[in-house]
Amino acid sequence: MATLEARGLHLRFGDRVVLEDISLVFPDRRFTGIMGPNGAGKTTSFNVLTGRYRPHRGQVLLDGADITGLPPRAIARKGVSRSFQIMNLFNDFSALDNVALAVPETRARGFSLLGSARKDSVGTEKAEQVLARVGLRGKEQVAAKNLSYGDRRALEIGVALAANPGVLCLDEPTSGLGREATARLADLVRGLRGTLTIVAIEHDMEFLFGLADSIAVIHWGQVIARGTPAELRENPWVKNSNLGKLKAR
Amino acid sequence: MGAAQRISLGLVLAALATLPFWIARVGLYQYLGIEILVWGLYALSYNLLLGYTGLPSFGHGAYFGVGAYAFGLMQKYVGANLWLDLAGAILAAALSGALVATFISHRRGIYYALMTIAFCQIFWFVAIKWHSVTGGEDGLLGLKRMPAELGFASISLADNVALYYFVLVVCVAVTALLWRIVHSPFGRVIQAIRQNETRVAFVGYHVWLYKWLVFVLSAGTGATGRVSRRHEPAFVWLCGDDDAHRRRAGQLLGTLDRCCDLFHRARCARRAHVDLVAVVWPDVHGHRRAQARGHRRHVAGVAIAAQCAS
Repeated sequence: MATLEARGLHLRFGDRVVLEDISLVFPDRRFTGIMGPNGAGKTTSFNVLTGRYRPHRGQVLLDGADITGLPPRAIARKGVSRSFQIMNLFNDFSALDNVALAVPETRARGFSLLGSARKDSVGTEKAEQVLARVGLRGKEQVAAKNLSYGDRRALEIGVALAANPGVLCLDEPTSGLGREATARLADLVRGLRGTLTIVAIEHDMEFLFGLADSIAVIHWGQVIARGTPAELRENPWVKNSNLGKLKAR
Repeated sequence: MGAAQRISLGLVLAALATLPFWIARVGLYQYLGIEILVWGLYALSYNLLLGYTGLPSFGHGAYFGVGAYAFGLMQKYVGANLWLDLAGAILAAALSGALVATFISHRRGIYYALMTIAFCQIFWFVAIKWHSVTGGEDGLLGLKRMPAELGFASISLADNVALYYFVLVVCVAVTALLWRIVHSPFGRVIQAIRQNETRVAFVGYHVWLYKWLVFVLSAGTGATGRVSRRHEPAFVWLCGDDDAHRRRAGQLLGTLDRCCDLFHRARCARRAHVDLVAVVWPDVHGHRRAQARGHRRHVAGVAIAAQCAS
């Protein structure tokens, strides 16, 4: 069971209110999408959910337990993983090391000063499995900086998956990808559906509408619409905004 | 380690092991061998912090100074035993590093660097003003070289060659320890912190604690060499208030360029022997120039620490 919930989140940076009464539920093992224009507060919501910011009001609940304001490392350890809009990889490390570092068994040995980093069989094995899952089999020893952009996006998700999370938060996973790479990523995410709770911020409407069970629209720091993809297609705000200009599928 | 690395490491070790026999023939002097080893070890311990973890500490000489003062003070007031005083000095350096690290480990980059300078200034003022304990600008006087008691034998270190070999053994041991650390799981995490501190936190690591610990390790291991080399405490400051110090400060700033290059090379190469060579060259080169000018000063291979006695 991994249900993430935000209740009445309020966040201010100085005088500027960036989140106003954000209440969202991300049901267990469902794919929930978040969309909205740039600057709406989507990534900021993620930052509050994953512990980077503490909201001035409101709560974040994981399976009913209050995790508001816990530091990112604590929330990550509770099984909430996130990927980043601007990629946050360990560029000099190989793809395998990138993922292995995030494996909980490797993390538990982190303070071992005299052990050997090479002899990490559990971490290596799990990392190889994750890399195969995200389509990077055969590229384990390639340094992250030398991977193609599409592969780096896949690795970004791989690092988030390494901890076997209950909740996976994806921040614009298709950002910068072309048609083919987006389709590959959609297949990857489709394969994850049903196994864990997924929350994804996306601008690519085809991607989101094709995968999401429900979508929330955030604008000016507030949730202005929510529903299934079919319901949202009929939503007047969505239809009239730039977001609504979808091709008929 | 590849074959080429093993061979070059072997050559460096061979050169260091035989140094007392050839150093005079190339126009240098025995004590320089000790200087080379100690500065090399200093660079390696500093590299742990800057090269591997990406944390710039501009006041790092403070902990080495603390170690040196602790050594001298222990010899005077606690007991003249080499091992005891050495252990006490390393502990003092590590503890002062721990104290400072507590206040700075939540920061990084330029903010981290500025705070290290601030703390270094505190140590400097204490060292200069607390005349009754530290001897102020004179330093601690009347210290002796203590023999190395091995239980079954007592080896006198009065001779420079004997002291050189003692320092060599200590430095090789500490270097091996540092090598072990950087190849451990801890070493992998600190390298990850250098590359992307944010992500390390988001995958569940206690980043503050790792940064704190690496600072303490760096302070402690660097002090080991410093203390074993010389028994008069040499201290660190960048802003002197007299002519000699200002000149030295100018020299130090002048070598900053070379030292950034040193650190960059140390970071890229990350091999023990390359670090040592990178430190030796400016040290030896500087000495030659200084000798030509008739002064017994020499340019340190590392920007921050400077020798102020003699």
